[in-house]
Amino acid sequence: MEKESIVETRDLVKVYGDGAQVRALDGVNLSIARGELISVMGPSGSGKSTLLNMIGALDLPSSGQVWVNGQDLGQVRALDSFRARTVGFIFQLHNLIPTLTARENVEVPMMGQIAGRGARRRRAEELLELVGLADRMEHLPSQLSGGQRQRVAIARALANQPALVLADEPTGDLDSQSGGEVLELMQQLNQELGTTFVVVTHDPAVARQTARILNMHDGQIVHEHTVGTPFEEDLAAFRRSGLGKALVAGENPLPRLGPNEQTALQRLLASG
Amino acid sequence: MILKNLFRRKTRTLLTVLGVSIGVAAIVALGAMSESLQRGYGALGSGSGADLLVAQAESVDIAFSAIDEEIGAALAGMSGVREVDRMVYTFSSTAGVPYFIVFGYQPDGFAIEHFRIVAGEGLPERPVRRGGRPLILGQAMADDLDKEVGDTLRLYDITFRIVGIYETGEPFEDGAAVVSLEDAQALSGHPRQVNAFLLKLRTTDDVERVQQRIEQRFEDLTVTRSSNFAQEQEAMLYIAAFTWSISLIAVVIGGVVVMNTMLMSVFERTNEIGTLRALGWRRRQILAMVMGESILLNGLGGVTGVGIGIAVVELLEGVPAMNGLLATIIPPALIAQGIGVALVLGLLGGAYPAWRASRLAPAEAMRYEGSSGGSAAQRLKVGGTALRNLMRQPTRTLLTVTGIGLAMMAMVSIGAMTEGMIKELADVFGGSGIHLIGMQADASIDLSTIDVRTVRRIQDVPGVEAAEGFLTGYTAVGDLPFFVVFGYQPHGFAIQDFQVVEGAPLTANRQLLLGRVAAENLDKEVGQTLRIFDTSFRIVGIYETGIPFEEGGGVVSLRDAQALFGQPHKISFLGIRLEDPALAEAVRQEIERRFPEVSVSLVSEFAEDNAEMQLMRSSSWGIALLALLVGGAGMMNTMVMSVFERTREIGVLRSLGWSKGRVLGMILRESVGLSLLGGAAGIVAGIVAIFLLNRNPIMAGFVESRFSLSLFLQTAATALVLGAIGGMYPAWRASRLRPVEALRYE
Repeated sequence: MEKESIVETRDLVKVYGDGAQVRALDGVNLSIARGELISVMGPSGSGKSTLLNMIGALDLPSSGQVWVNGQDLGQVRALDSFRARTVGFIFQLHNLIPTLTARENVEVPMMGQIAGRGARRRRAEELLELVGLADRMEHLPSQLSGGQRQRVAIARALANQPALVLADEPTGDLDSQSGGEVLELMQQLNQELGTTFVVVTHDPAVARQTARILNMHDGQIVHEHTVGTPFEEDLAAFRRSGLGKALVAGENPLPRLGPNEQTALQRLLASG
Repeated sequence: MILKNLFRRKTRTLLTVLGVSIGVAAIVALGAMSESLQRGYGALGSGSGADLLVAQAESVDIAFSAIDEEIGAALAGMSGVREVDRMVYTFSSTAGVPYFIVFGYQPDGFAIEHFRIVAGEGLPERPVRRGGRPLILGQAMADDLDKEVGDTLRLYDITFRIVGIYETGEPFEDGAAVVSLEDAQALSGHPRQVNAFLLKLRTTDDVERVQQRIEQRFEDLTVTRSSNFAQEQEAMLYIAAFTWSISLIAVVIGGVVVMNTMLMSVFERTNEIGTLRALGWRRRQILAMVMGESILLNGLGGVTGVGIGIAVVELLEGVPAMNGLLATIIPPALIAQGIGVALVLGLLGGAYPAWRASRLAPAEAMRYEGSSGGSAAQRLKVGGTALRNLMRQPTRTLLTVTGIGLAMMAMVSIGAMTEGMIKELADVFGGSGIHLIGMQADASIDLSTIDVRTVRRIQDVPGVEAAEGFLTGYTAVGDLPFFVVFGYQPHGFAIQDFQVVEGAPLTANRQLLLGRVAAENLDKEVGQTLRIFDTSFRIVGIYETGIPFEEGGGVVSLRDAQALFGQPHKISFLGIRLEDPALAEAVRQEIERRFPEVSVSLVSEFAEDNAEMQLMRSSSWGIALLALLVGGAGMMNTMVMSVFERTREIGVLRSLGWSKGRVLGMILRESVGLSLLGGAAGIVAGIVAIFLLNRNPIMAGFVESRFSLSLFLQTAATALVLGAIGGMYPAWRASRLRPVEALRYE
C-alpha cells in the first residue's frame, strides 16, 4: 500500500427489513487512501448511499467491519463526536437550517466541539471566505441560490477539519453550471487541504471529475476505474474480476442485471 | 375520511382530546357539586313538607339567618297558618370532618318526619342526658365515620349519643346529623334563635296572601315558597358563579388548544387541500371536512371529560369531608351540558381554521412546501435559536402562548386575591397592640362564637394585660351585598385601630362609624343615618384603616352588634394584650390549656393558621393546577408538532455530530421559552385583570388583591416546570430519532 488508507471495509453487509429482506450491501471490501477524491456510481438502490452512511457512522452494518481514520467503528462508543470530528456530510438537498444565517449554519457542527462563540464565529467566517461566500455570511438560506446553499453546506462539512468529507449527490439538485462549480470547489479543497472526498453520484459527468470511480450494483462493488488508466488495462482488470469471469462463462451472478445489459457486457469482454 | 384525518397524528389528537376533556371534567365535577348543594337546599325547603319558609331578610345564606324563637308563636297565630315548625342549620366539626352539617328540629314537629329511621330510633321527645345528648346520624355519614347506634360522637366539646340512623335520599341530609333544637342552638352559639320557620298552610291557595302578610308585619323577615327556596339563596348564586368562572377558564384554554390543533392540521395539509380543490371540491366541502374533524375531536374530548368528571366525583364521595356536598347522581342535564360545551368548543375552535382552509387558492396550495420560516425569522435578528424556531410558526406560538398565558393569568389573579385576603386578615388584627387572637376552637371564621364570660376569665390568666372581645357579622346594606359590621367596645383598646378621619369616635349605642369605601359606595356622610336590619344608626364618623375589608364595613358598639346579630353575651373573636410579648407562646399555650373551647394564635400567625385561608389557598392552587393541566396538554401538543415538522432537520443535526443530549436540550429550551413567554403574558394579563377587578366597587370593598414577588416567582417557576414537563416527551422523542431515518423523512 503506497498511501495510508483512511477508509477500509471488510465484508460489509447491511440487511434491511425483517420479513422480505433487502441486502443493501452484500459483502463490500473497499480501501480509500488519505487525500483521495473518489466517486461512487450506480443506479438508485445499488447501495451507494447505504455505503456512505456506514462510512459516516450514521448507521451500523449487519455484519463486517469499517475502519475510518484508523478507528474500528464497531468499537467507537461516542459516534456523535466521531461524526463531529472525523467526517463532514454534504447532502443532495443542502439541508441547511432555515432559521439560521449562512454563518450560523456553518457554526452548527462546532457547537459542543469548539468552545467560545468568538472562536466559532471566526472559523465560520474563514470557511465561508474559502468557499467564496464572504459577502453572503449573514444571509438566510432562503436568500441564497441553490449553488450558494451547497457552498454553505460544504463549508459546514469542513467546520471541524474532518479527515473525510462524504457527499451524497451534492449536485443532484443543481443545474449543470452550478453543479460544475460545486465540483470544482471540492476538487480545489481536496488539493489545497488534502481532505479526502467521497462523492456519491449517478451522473457520469460528475464521476469523471474524480480520480477514482467505484461502480456499485445490487450492493456490491462491481467495477473500479482509475481516471487516466488506458481502456485496455481497465478491461483486462474487469476480465480478471469475479464478475468478469462469471460473465465470460455465460453466467449472470447479479440478479438485477437485465438480459440486454448482460449481452452488452459479454460483448465488451469478448472484444479487444 | 374525517376519522382517518384525525388518526394521522395520534399523539396530537390524544393531547387535544385530553386538553378538552380536562375542561369538560371540571364542568361536570364542579357542576355536580353545585347541583347537589342546590338540591340539598331544595331538600331543606321542600323535603320537610312545609309550604313556606321564613328566614331573616338580607342574610347571605340560611346558615347566617337568625330569628328569635318567640316570633314562631306570632306566626302560628296568623290566619291561614296551620302549623309552624322550627329549624336550626349550623356547622360543627368532628375528627376528620371540618364542616359537619348539623340540623336542629323539634322532635315532635312535622319536619323531622322526613328523616326516615333505618336503625335505632328517632330523637326522644323529652331531653335525655344519659350517656350524651341524643343525635340521629345520616346513613352516608355513619358509613364514612364507621359509627353505629349506641356509639358516641363529639361535636365541638359536646358529647352526643347516636340513637338512630336515618336516610332521606338527599346526600346533603344523609351526610349530616340531626339533634334537638336546643342542642343545635347550643352548638351554633345562638340560644333561643332559629335559622328558619317552616310553615304549613290551611290551603295552598293562600300561599301568596300569607307570604305578603308576614313580610308586611315583620320587615326583617323574608318568606319564600319552600320549592323556590334553593333558587333564592344568594350563596347559591355565588357558588354557581364561581363554578362557571372556573369552567370558563378551562373551556377558553381548551378552545385555544383546539384551534391550535386544527390550524396545524390545515397547515400541514395545504397541499392536499389544494389537490381536493383542483379535483373539484367546493369551498363548502372543505369547510365541512375541517369543521367535522374539529367537532368529532371535541366530541371525543367531551365524552372522555364526562367520564373523568364522573370518576372524580365518585372518588371524592369516599372522602368524609366531602359528604353532603356531592350527589351520587350526576343529572343527565349536566352530562349534556359538558358534551354540549365541548361541541361548541369544536365549532368555535374549528371555525377559523376551516375558514382558512376553504379560502386557500388551489394552485398556490398545491405549490406550498411547508413554512420555511423565512420572513418571520428574517425580521428577528435578535434572540437565540430557540426564539427563532418558535417564530417559524407564529400563529401556533401565539395560540400556545395565549393558552398558557390564560392559565397563568388565572393563577396570578386568584393567587393575588388569596394573598390579599390573608394580608387583610393579618392586618385586621395586626394593629391596636394586640398580641394574641382567640376564636372558637375548630369553628370556621364566620361562625366563631365565644361567651363573654370566657373573656373575663381569660383576663385573669397570668401574663395577660387585657382581653377584649369583638363581634363581626355580615349583612347586605343598600346595594352592597357584603357589609361587615364590627362590634367593638367604644372605649376599648381594639377600636383604636379604626382611625376616625371625619366626625367623632363612637361614644354610645346606636352610633355608627362608617368605613371610607362603604361611605363612598353608599353615598353617606357624617350626620346621616343608615339602617342595618331594622335598626337605624346615626353616622358619627368616617374611618380609614387602609384595609378595604374594614373600610367596606362599619363599626358599632359591641352591644349593638350583639343585638343586631341576635347574639347577646357572645363575641366572635378576642384580642389579648400581654404584659410581656416575649412570653406570647407560653401564655398562648396556657390559655388553650385552661379553655379548650378557645383556639389562640399569635397575631402574626393568625391569618396563616386559619383553616379558611388554607382552604382558599389550596383551592386557588387547585384552579391553577387545572388550568396548568389543560395548558400543559396544549404545550406538549405544540412541541410534538414542532419536532415532527423538523424531523429531517434533526437528522441533519445528528449527522453533523450533535449528540442526543444537545438535541434534547434544544427542544427543551424551546419549550421552556414558550411557556415562559406564556407566563410573562399571564402575569401581565393577571395584573390587568386584578386592576379591573379592583375598580369594581363591590370587589374593592371586599378585598384588595395583592401582588407579591413570591407570587410572581411562583408563577414563573410554574411556567418553567410546565415548559420542562411539556417539553420532556417531545424532546425525548426528538433525541431518539435515528439519524438515517430522520434524514429520509418526508
